[in-house]
Amino acid sequence: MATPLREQLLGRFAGLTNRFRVWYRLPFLLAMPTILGHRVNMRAQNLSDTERDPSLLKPSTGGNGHDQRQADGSYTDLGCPWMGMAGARFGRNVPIGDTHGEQPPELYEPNPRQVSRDLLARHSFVPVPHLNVLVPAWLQFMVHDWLSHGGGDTTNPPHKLPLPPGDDWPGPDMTILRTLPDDRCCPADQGQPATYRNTETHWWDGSQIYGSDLARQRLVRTDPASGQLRPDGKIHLDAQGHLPVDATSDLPNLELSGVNGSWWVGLSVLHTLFAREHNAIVDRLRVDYPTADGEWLFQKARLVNAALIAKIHTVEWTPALMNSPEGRMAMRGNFWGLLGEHYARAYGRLGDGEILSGIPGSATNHHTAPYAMTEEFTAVYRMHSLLPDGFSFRRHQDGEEIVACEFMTVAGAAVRDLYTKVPYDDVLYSLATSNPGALVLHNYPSGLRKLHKKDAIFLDIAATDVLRDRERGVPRYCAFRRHLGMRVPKSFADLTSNPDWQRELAAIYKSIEQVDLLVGLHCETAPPGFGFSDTAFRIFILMASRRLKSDRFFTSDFTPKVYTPAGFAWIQDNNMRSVLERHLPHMRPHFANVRNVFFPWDK
Amino acid sequence: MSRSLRIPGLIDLVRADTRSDIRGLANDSRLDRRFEARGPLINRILVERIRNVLRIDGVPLPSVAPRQDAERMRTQDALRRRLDPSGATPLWDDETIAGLVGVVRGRGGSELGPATQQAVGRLFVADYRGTGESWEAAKVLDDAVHTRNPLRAILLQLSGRLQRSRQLLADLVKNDLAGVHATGIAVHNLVRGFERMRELWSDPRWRLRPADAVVEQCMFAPPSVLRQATMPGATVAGAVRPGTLVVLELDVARAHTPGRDVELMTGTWAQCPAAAFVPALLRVVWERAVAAPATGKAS
Repeated sequence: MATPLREQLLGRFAGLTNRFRVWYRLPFLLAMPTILGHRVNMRAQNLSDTERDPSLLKPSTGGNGHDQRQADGSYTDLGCPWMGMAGARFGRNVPIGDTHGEQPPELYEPNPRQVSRDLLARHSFVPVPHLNVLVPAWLQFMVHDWLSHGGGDTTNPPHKLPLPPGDDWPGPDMTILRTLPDDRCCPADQGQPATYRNTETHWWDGSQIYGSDLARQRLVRTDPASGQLRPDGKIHLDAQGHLPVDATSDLPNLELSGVNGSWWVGLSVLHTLFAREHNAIVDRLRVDYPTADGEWLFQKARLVNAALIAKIHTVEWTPALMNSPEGRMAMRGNFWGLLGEHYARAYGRLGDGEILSGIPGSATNHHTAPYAMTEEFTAVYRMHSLLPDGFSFRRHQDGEEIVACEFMTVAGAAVRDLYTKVPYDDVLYSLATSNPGALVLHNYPSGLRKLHKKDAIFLDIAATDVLRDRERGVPRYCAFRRHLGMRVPKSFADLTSNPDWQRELAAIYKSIEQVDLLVGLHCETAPPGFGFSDTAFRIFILMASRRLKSDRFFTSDFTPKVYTPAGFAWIQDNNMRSVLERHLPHMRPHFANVRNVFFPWDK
Repeated sequence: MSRSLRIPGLIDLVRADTRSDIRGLANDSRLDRRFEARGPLINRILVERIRNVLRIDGVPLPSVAPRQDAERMRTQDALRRRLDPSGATPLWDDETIAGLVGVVRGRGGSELGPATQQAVGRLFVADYRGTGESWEAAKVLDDAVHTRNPLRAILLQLSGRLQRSRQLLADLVKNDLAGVHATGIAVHNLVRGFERMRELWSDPRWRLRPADAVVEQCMFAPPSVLRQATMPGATVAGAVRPGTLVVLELDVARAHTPGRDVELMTGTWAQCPAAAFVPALLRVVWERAVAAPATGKAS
């Protein structure tokens, strides 16, 4: 499909303004076309395909592929059934030739553990006062929908990092499992950079709730008491409205969901909320379709629930983190278009373009590569610093503390124990009235830098984050920005104005070119009102739109016919606030006065 | 993505620049290289250019010969077998390789064209010697095919430079048509590969990486190849009618998805007969460049 003339002009405009000034230093009326132009340019230049032999992927058979999502994500593109399915490879946002994973010795230089300890470790909690802890919870809720590299590689020798002098890490060195290698290679892969497969569906399809294969989907629909699939199309919740226990997990008492790895109470809250939302959608659909069977109701409710989640992410969550006129307009424009929600709801779409009337309902377009999540997107979404180390759970009625916890006691199987002490409503209230951490140096949660897995096994997630980018061939910070057409800092002073950080960077890195992407993202001064860096934003401009634009259920099939009129209206009429009001009406006074429910609620 | 440009009476063009589309079009039996003067004006001009430039004594070079041309199939098949690096005949000599290794390791870049041309030319004539003059002739031939400036194309024809260059290239390979294509057109992709290899050589990290990875970095496709529709129908890139020109934008596709099926059209009827030779040559040059002593003479 040809790039329309107006988009070509926007691309050239962005190229022009970018030479003189970064977009957030431009007036609003120049900044908006620049942002749109960056997206045009990146669609042309920053999408690379790694799936050299798609025949290695086996899309599911059976089911109605036309008007419902397949469990494994196949047939979302009917002409290319394998695209975006679970097991498909991660794509790239930089040229393939520049994605060779780093090899020793550069792979371990500087020592990721030292980077973790000397640059990332939290000294004292640096909060973001205008956001609440539902922000990191939502982020992880989304990431679990989009991507996972699976467990580590237990068949090959792990990475071994020597410990810097004086390090208190248990053991003589730090071992980190390698990323699970691609188990399906073809002759065309010879000489090409290593590839990795996404164990989840790449699509924005709610797979964190519903799973990425049919077996998992059936599990969340099954009543554990009877062992039978629920006939009403609902997700099974226990008598208290909580997620049931995952009987298939090694962890006793872990809650069940489509994806329940790296589980903590923030995830639990959102999974529970949207499982309840699924069931509410089923109830609504049954009013219009009283004779429909449970399978049909389940699949339609899934379609609606996933779209509602995508909408919330686009018009509420992301604008909370991009709290500037340009940021809000860019993200709301993705969904409603520049003409806005009121116009769209009053008059419908104006043409099939995405700029004026938004992406939902526009024509599907994969642009220059088949749709896939990318390694670079994975890398810029490493935002663990958002997590606090301590949690204070308080009663929503009077704000009195019930219990104070560290991260490990609100994670994994401990979540269900927590609910025995703190009711769900109070957990939600406590998270929504606490602040997340800022994405800056020295703010990585201590609990994640010494995460106890089992027995004598500990993980330093910060060191692992740094190593993963190098291992998977994600370019380091300067090279990364170069690939995005961004200005590249020439010195540590050019990267950060903080003299302490400059000194610390110089002590770790031989040159600015060696600075890791994660570290650079945490040093960079964010655009005004933004919770993350401009570098990350550039990837989001591309990928946030792409998640919608490539998916026919958000584009050509985003219609009342496919979603049902009631389902379609449900998406249009609802948002995170209304979801909360529906399931927790008594909590409304706490968020009634906040502009965005991801901002701190009233105590 | 694929796109069509159709202005009645003026142009009828389909362009494809994604790997999957190119793969589908390359094997579409309705698309061929007969290059008959039909269709709208610009189509005719483009076809005429190919017919005029890539012919010797009225015979098309094998790279633009039709799919079912028996002579093309025979000679290309024979060439493919002759250029098989696993065969008994050596495909390069030490002098030629030493020249390329020297350039990769930083010696004068101006020597790259003639040195590469010599490596290719010796596949056809044992004592082929690439010179500044022969390399200039190759640039003229390539320019005559690929230039987007119609005035330049006309000038090359009218001035006689094209004819002289083509004749020189033909004389040097003793009128072997495949040799003319190899030393006049295809050689430019190989030169780009060696230029890339020079860049990689300057980055010490690449010397630690597997040679396969370097070879893949240095494989270049022609910017584009052309097909002409022989009958109407719907293709993966859109509808075509007799005379529609289909441009396979190999270089653009390669940028997003590198792979031999793009660079060398492997697995299609138009597969490059040097599909095994090119990576083998790149590999041997790189390996010798890496193995040569750091301060010693490159050989």
